[in-house]
Amino acid sequence: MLERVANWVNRLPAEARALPILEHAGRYWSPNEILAQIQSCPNCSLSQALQAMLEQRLHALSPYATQYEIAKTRLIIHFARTPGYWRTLAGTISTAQLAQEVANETPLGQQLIQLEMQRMREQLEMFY
Amino acid sequence: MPTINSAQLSVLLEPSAEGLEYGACFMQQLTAQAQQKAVAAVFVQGYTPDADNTLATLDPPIFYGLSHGSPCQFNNYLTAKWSGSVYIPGEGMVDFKCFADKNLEKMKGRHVHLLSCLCGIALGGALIKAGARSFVGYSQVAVYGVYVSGYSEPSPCEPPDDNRDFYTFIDSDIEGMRKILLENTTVGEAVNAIIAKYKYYIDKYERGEWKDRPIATDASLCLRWNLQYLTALGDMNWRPLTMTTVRPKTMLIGMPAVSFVGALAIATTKKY
Repeated sequence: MLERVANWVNRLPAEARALPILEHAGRYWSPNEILAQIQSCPNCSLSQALQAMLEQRLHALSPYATQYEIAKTRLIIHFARTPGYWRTLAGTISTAQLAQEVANETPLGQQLIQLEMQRMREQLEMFY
Repeated sequence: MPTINSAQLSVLLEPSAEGLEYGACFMQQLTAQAQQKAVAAVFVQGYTPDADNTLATLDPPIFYGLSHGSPCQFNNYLTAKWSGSVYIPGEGMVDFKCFADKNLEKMKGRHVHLLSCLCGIALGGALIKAGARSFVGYSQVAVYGVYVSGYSEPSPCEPPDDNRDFYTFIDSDIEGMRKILLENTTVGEAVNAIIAKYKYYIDKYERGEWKDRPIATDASLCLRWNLQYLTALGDMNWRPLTMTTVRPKTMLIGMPAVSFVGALAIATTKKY
């Protein structure tokens, strides 16, 4: 199991490995954190619960609101870690502006969160 | 060089407008490829009389526009009567009002592809209603480049690197025109090719060789954004090049360095 989780983490984009992807036991877990937990204590109930979430696609049963909040958090972390700019045919938008849009859940922020939810689900599906 | 004996694409653009040099570069490359296939194109700068003259003289079946757009207007050239509010990234809710249709009938019988913001919201449908055979565009602001803070913008047509990508977005959009001009596909096949190209780059950034680049997260998100708002309307089974009338001469307007078979491009400085 450990090898399978490690392989999954390695297949993910470098930045995504450190972004939250699951919610369990009252906190968010990034792929790196899931791997570290399973490595440090393979037989702990916490490790087994995280493994079960990945193996049995239990993440797919997470409430929509939870997935939405994780995706929102991922975007805010990303925009803060990698400042940059998006050029559109209507002008330039900074990632700082985008982070605000996401934090305030403006119509644009909500659209970006939806796209991030889609991307997050696909990254979880890469486990299989 | 093959003889250019018909005009099948007219391309309207304004290379001096913000960011349009990136799209113009791809169109110039495609023009050169099209000429190898004896397919001619006409490149017109965003100047209405030149565009009108080209359409009237050459009657190309394809019109490709590269410029700023709004829900009801493609630069100052095409306008559909419409009013409403749209949420614009970075600007909030913006009201748009277009009081009357303008020039829509000039697209009658043509395939219209607009690489511009927002035209898929109302203008695309209005063009189809006015007789355009098919329409491809975007129903939100269209992203054409992303870069990490501290890096300069690349040159037009420069392939993406670790921190900058001003390539994959336009390359994906242009793929549709490549299919039609170089492979004589239907509009539907061209739209599928655009979608496939966007997905190809998304996969490259999320699972493939570019996944660890600093720009990967932004680039894949923006590619997903453009793909989500890609809009295609009208007759998807139409094969635009098969209806082309062979003409005895080619007229080059505006930018004689570029010629196409069957396309007209227009651009303006009007934002959105």
